[in-house]
Amino acid sequence: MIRAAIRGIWEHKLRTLLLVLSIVAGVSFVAGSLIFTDTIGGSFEAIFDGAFEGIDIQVTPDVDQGFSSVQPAFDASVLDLVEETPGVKETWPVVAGLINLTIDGEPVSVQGPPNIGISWEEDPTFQVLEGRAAAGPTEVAIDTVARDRFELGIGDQVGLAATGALVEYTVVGIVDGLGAGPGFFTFDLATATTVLNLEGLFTGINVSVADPAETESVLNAISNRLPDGVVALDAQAAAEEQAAVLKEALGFFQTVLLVFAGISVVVGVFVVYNAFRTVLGQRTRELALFRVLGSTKRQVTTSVLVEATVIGLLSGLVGLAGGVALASAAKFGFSLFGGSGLAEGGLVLQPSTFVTALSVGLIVTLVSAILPAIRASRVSPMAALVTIDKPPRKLTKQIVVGALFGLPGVVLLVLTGLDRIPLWAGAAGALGLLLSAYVFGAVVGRPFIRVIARVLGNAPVRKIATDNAARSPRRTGATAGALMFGVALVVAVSVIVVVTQDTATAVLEDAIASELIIQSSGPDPTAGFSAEIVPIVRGLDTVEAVQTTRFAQGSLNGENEFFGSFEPETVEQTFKFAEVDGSWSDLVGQTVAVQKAQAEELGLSIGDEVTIDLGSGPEPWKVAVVWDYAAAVDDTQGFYLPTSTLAERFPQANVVAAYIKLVDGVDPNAAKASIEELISADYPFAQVTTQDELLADLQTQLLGLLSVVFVLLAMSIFIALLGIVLILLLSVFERTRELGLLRAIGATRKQIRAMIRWEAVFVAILGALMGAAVGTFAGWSLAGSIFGEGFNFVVPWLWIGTGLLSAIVAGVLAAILPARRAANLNILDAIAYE
Amino acid sequence: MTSPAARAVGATKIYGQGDTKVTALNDVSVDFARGQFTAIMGPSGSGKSTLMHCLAALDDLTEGSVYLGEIELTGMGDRELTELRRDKIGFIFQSFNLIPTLTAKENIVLPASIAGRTTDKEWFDQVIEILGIGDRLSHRPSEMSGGQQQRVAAARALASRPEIIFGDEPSGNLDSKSGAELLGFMRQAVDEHGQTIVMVTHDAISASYADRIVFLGDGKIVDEMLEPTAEKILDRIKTLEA
Ligand SMILES: Nc1ncnc2c1ncn2[C@@H]1O[C@H](COP(=O)(O)OP(=O)(O)OP(=O)(O)O)[C@@H](O)[C@H]1O
Ligand SMILES: [Mg+2]
Repeated sequence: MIRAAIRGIWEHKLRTLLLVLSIVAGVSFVAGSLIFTDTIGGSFEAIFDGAFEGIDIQVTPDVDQGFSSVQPAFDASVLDLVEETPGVKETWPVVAGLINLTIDGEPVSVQGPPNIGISWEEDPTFQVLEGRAAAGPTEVAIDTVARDRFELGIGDQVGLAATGALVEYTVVGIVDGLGAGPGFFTFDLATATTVLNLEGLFTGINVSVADPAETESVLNAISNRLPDGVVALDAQAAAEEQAAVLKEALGFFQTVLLVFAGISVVVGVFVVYNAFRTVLGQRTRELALFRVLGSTKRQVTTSVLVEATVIGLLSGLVGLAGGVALASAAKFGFSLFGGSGLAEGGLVLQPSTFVTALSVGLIVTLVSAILPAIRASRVSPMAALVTIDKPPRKLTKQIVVGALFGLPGVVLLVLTGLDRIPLWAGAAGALGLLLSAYVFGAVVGRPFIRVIARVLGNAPVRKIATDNAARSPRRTGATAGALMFGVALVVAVSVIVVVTQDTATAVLEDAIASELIIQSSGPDPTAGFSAEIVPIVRGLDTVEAVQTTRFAQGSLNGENEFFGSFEPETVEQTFKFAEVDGSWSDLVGQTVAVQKAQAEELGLSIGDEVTIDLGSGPEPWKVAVVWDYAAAVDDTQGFYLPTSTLAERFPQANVVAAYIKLVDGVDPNAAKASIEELISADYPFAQVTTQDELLADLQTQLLGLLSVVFVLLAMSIFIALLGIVLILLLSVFERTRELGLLRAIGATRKQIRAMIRWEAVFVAILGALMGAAVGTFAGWSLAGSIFGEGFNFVVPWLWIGTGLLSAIVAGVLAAILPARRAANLNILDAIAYE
Repeated sequence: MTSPAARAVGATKIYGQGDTKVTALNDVSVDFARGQFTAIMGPSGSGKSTLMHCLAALDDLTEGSVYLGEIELTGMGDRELTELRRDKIGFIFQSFNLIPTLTAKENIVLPASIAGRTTDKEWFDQVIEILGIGDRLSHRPSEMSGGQQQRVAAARALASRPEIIFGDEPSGNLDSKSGAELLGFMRQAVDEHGQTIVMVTHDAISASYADRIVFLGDGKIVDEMLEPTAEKILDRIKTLEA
């Protein structure tokens, strides 16, 4: 029997090929993700091995937030405390912060990791590779990442600015940075302090100890001397922390690949399961004959599993090759994303990857084949002798199983949508609902297809196509189910995208009264721009009011919190409020304005006191205003301090956004142009945008997200398409005689092709509509969880339409090969008697 | 005199090449008159099915030509042949005559609906009545006996009033009673409605329903008989085999 199984694989090359293809995608993504991680992960370890050689201890502010606009710093006097600690050999104070650059006068927009300006006076942090260290107010030395990313070399000019005005620097040296991740621009300490506007402050101190064995005791001694808000860390630990930041970027790629892998594996399993079920159903007689000839049930099962094993191994091997291709693509993508130093060298193909790829292929096929194999072994030997006319099987089991998965799924999704339970529970619910829909496909398939057919009218071939599609409901349901996954996914994500867009539009239109907004053009819009711009803009006579917002990080009543800021004088001119308790003019000094939702959550009202720590210890602050925007703004930032207070406390911090209310009747575009003219030469990173432009930007960003979704859609639809091809080929084969008869009594080839095509389209529409329904529901739930209760739900008709259309196109494409086979059947062979 | 309903002239059909060459039909010329019920008989492998397939526009000849009425089939494309089958020919095969997903009625009107025509209601009712399947119209093939299925097939062949009906052992799978009934209906269609029928059969009793018998042997016409009876046929077969 095993030989028969192997011969079966060989004789049905096309079927085998399609089966292998439907598993390959999943295996490829798994293998690709492993190869990529091994390749890049290896370089990471190498990078951080020697990153902080010569430095034993780092002193840093106590807020762990990486490099952000509110780069925390501490007073320069801390240096003395550290230097005087016994056991300390050398100390190197450091200032560092985000920096923007222009090349040839053009602002460079950066995707991916940020650029960092940092002081460096030949401490062990960097090593000169070429040229020399920067010295003086117009020199900069850059690391290899910056060199490669911006194609800079010694002698080149580059414009750099953090908070102040733009200054041109000459590149005088290349140093070894991390080789990946952020790009470093190093200045001498005095220059860096000016550039970053950190007079009298340090963002860190590097320390070496006299006796490395004593590092821990020295660390403790330093810690004891440090004021509140400053900590000392083992340099090794600090390096690991930075590695973790970089690995997050890697993690993103891996996650994307694994999500793709998961989806393709799931869709693949459904396709293969369905195919095995159908093939074995068709081979009933043959299997029964084996049973008559004395094969045991186990032999029947084994022969099926042998076939599955061979197909699984084949898929594993092909998938491995696909994985190598994917990993090189991902590596290339990662290098574009800022990991140029990591993209050197070949791919790492570890034996474990090889084993994993083959195992995934094997497991997927075996899992898909096991149920059909068991069912095949139950074929009675009698089936060989008589044609048992199977009455249409009751679908009770489907209904029970479907309900078993579906009901909890629906409940979880509803609760998630109402924001009662965490998101992952909703995800589990979505999976349950998908499985249930997959099983239910068999139940709803038949009536559904009848309805579509009625809508389309019962042309003769279409009638037969309808009957065929409805003939084996479980087969149709399973084929449609594979397609459903992709469509559901896209629709769910597009709900999020559309709701995001809608909410953001509402914010722009209903909550903001200003016509222009100034923000940073850098990769991180919260990086902000120099406060020096504000008086320039205020001075224009087309400008009625300017509102500036700054950010600060700290804690509120002991919880980490991100604070925004308002200027009480202009806030009512630039924002639209539905409700304001208290008076804006009271928002001065140590007071806070609280958004209504957060105020309700904490039970705060005007005059209450909260404890806020902005890095210099907890202090009491008074609630001056409780307000609510005129739009349903999902603003996680609920606490706003007076801008003037923040400016006092953090003079080095940038303004994050300026909202400009124009004098009535002034054209926003003209005003924008005149502001740009004033500031763009000195402050090229402050970007003036009109409301319309903001909306357009938002749309572009969302389109970026959707492109990932498109890849998902294309991929899962492709696999599902293979499934449709497989099933159609099998049913064409199964219906050879029927097709021969139709041709004999006068059906033209064209009609036969149309018939098969309709069948595919019916299945596709069924899958797409199920997907749209599940996806919309899951999307609603997801959106509810993300945006909170009472968000404005939008059905993504455009994307549902797109999903439906692509499914129909997929159906038509899938039908090409089977339809040709069916139409070109030799009539005489087809009607030949047994 | 009107032209025959179907005609083969020097029909030759050769399968394979070289060592595996089989001459299924060897220069066969034969006419089938309108309104006549003809049976084709002969030993297994003598070329009966081949001749019928070539006459019925299902297969093409290696040499010679076939006419349906005045129309020459030789050299026609697939599309024309298909339309010819659809519009001018009826079929009753030995088994598997019906589309399993369609009801008896849908099966009967299938050729017409494929052609986008409606079936003549009066004639349809008459055919149903002749064949006695009025109470089976909404049943699917799996819900009918073999004899009923063959009667539905006969109804389908008659319903479109084709110029000629071909049957390849239409009663071959039936018990003698059902077979006799089916052949009786075919006889009736010829007698009362002038239908032309050509039927391949092995069975002398079945053949005795025909007006004329053509005997094939080794791809050639070896004999003919008019107004056959079962005994006459059996005698003739014995002499032919001797
Ligand atoms: N497709 C084919 N390829 C090769 N040889 C064929 C083919 N079809 C028929 N033959 C051969 O042609 C000859 C005539 O076959 P045909 O089917 O016409 O015989 P028949 O008289 O119908 O026999 P039976 O009574 O068994 O149905 C036989 O020798 C057969 O083997
Ligand atoms: Mg024959």
